[in-house]
Amino acid sequence: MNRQMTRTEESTLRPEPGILQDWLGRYRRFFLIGLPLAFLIIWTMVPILWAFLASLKNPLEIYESSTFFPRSPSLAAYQTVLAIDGFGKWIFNSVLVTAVATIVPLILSILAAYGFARYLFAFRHVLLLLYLIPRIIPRVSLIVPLNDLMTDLGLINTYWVLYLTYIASAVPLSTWILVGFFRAVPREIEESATIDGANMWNRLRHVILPIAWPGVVTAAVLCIREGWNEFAFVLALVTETGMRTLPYALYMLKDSMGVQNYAVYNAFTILTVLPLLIVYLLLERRVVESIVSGAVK
Amino acid sequence: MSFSIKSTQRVVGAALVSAMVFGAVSFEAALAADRNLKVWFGRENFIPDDRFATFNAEYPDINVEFEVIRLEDVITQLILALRSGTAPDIVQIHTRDVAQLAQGGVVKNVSHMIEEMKQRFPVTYEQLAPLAWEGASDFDGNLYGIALYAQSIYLTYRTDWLDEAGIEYPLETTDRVLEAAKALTTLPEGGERFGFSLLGCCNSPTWEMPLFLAMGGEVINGVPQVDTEIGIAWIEFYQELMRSQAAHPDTPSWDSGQMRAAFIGERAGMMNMGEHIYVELHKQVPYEEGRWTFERLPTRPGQTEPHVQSGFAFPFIVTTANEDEEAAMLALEYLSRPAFAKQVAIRYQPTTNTAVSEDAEYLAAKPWATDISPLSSNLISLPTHPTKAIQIYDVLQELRDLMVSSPNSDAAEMAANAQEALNAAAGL
Repeated sequence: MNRQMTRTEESTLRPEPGILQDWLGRYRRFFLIGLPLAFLIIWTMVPILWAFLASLKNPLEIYESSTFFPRSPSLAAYQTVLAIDGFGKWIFNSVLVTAVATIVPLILSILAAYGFARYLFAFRHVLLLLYLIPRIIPRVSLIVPLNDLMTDLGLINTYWVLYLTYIASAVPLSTWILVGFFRAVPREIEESATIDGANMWNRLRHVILPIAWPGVVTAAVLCIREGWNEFAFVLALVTETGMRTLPYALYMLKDSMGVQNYAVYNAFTILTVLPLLIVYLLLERRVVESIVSGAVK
Repeated sequence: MSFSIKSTQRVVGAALVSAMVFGAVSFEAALAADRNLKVWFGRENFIPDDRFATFNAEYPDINVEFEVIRLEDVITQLILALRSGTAPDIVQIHTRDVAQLAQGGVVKNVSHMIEEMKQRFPVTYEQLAPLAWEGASDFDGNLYGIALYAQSIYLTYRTDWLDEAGIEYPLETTDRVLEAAKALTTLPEGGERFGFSLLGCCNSPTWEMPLFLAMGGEVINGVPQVDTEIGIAWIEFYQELMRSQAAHPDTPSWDSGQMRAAFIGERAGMMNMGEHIYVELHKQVPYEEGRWTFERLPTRPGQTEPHVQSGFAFPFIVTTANEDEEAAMLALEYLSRPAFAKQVAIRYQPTTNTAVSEDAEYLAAKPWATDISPLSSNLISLPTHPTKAIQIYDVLQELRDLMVSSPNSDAAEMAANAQEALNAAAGL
C-alpha cells in the first residue's frame, strides 16, 4: 500500500514527458522569441514614448534627468507648433514631394526591375550595380555639383529640384528591392500566362505585380520614408520658407542662442511622425495580407 | 474733309503722345516695382514685428523678401546661393566672419552708402554705438553693413545660494569663482546641485574666449596665445570645475541649451551667460526678487593686465549679389531705427542703438538693463583673424571640448598642442 501510495505521489510529482516537453518548448519560445521581441518593442517604443511625454512637459522639466513622466501634462507645445506660421504649408510640401518621390520611382523601378529580372541582356549585372552608385556616394558630397547643375537648369528654390533629387535617390533602392521580388516569381507562371495570350504588359500587371505585391509595398514604404525624412537636399537646395519641408522646419526650430524648447521640438516631431506611422500601419496590414493570400494561392 | 483729316491727325497725334507718356510712366513704374531686396535673418527673433510693413509704406517701389537662415548654416548657404544666383542682398552673420568673407569677395564694401546714410538719416546714424561699425568692418576699416545686435558674456549667479553658503560677492577673480562653485555644489539636505554650469560640445567657443580675454589673454594678429601662463590658467579653470565635480559630469555632452537650462532650472548656481538669456531667466525668477545677479567676467588673482569685457555682434552685411545699394542702405536704416531695434532688444539680443537703452519701455521690460549698462559700455569686439577665423574657431572649439572632457590632462601640454594647431590654422 505504502509502496503504491509512494508510486502515486511520485507519479503526481513527476511531470509527464509531454508536459515537460511543452514546458521546455514554452521556455525556448520565451527566450528565443519572446525576449528578443520584448527587447525590440522596448527599443522602438521607448524613444517614441519619451518624445511624446517630453512634448507634454514644461520646457525646463525635460532637462531634469530624474523625471520621465510629466509633472503637470500640458498640450501647450502642440498649440505652439500648430500656431507656427507656415506649418500647414510645410505639411503640404512634405506630402507633395513624398507623393511624387514615391509614385514616380515606383513606376520607373517596376519597369526597370522587370527588365533586370526577366531579360538576359548584356551587362545587366554591371548595369544593376551601377544603379547603386547614387546610393553609395555620400549625400553631402553631391550637394555642390547638384547645386551647380540645378542652378544651370534654373530649378533652385522650386519643387522640381526636390522632385528630381528625391526620385533619383529613391529609384536605385526600390529597383534593387523589386528585382529580388520579381526574380522570386516562378517563370512557369508567366509562361502559362503567355500561352493564354498575355503580352508583356499584361504579364507584368496581372501576374508579376499581384504576386510581388509585398515587394512593391515594401519599396513604397521605403520611398515614403526617404521622401518624408529627407533633409540634406532640402537644406542645400531650398532657402525659401514657403518651399521648406517638415524636417527642414524642425531643424530651423533649433536655437543655439537661447534655451531650446524641447517640448516644442518633440511636439513637432510627434506631429511629423504621426502621418508616417499611420501609413506604416496601413501598409503593414496590406503586406501581411498579400503574403498570406500568396501563400494560400 | 480737310477738317476731318486734321482732326483725325490730331486725335492720332494725341493718342500717340498719350501712349508715349503712359508708356513712359508705366515703364518707369515697372522699373520702380523692379527694385527687389532679399534679406536673410539669422533667427526669427531678429525680424521686426511689422515684418517690413512700415518700410513698404515708406518705399512702395522696393519689394522686400526675407527668410530665416540659421547663423550656423549661413556661410555655406550664402556661398551656394551666390553660385546659384539666389543670394540675398543683406545677410546676417557672425562678426568674426566679416573680414574673411570680404577677402573672398562675398560681401560688399558699402562704406560710401553708410556715409550717405549719415547725411540722409543723421539721427539714426548718431544713435548707433561704435560697436555697430566695428562689428561690421574689416581690419582696414571698410564697412560692409551694420552690427545692430551685440552681446557680451557675464558671470551670472544665484545670490540666494551664495548667501546661504555664506559667500560674499561680487566674486571678481577666478579663484573666488572656483571656491564659490565648490561651495554651492553640495546641498545641505542632500540632492543634486552643481556650482557651475558649463557646456562641452556642439557650440562655438564664444563663452570661453571672453573669459580668456578677461583673464588677460592676448590675441596677436588674430591668433589667441594660449600657450602662455594666462592660457594655461584659463584651461585649468575649466579643468578644476570638472575635476572638483562643481560642474555636472555630463558636461562634455552638453550644448548651450543644456548649460542654460541647468542654471535656469535651479540645478546650477553659476554660469557665464549672455544678457539675452536673462529674458528667459527673468520669467522664471524675476530680477526684482534679487535672487540672481551678474558681474563682469572674472580676472586672475593678482592680475596686472587690464580687464577686457569683450562682445560679439551679429551684423547685417551687404553681399556682392546686391545691385541696388540705395535700397540696401534704406533697409539697413529701417532696421536700425530705435522702434524696431527695441522690439528685438526686448525679446532677444541687446542692440547697439543707444537710444533704446534709455527707452522707458525697454527699461521696464529689462529691469537689469540699468545695472548691466556700466559693464557693457566699453565692450571690445572679440578679436578675429582676417582670413582664417573659421579655422581658428574650429581649433578653439576642439580645445574647449578637450579641457572639459579631460580634466586630469596636463594643461600646459594641452595649451602647447592647441597653440601648434592654432598657428597651423593661421598658416604660421
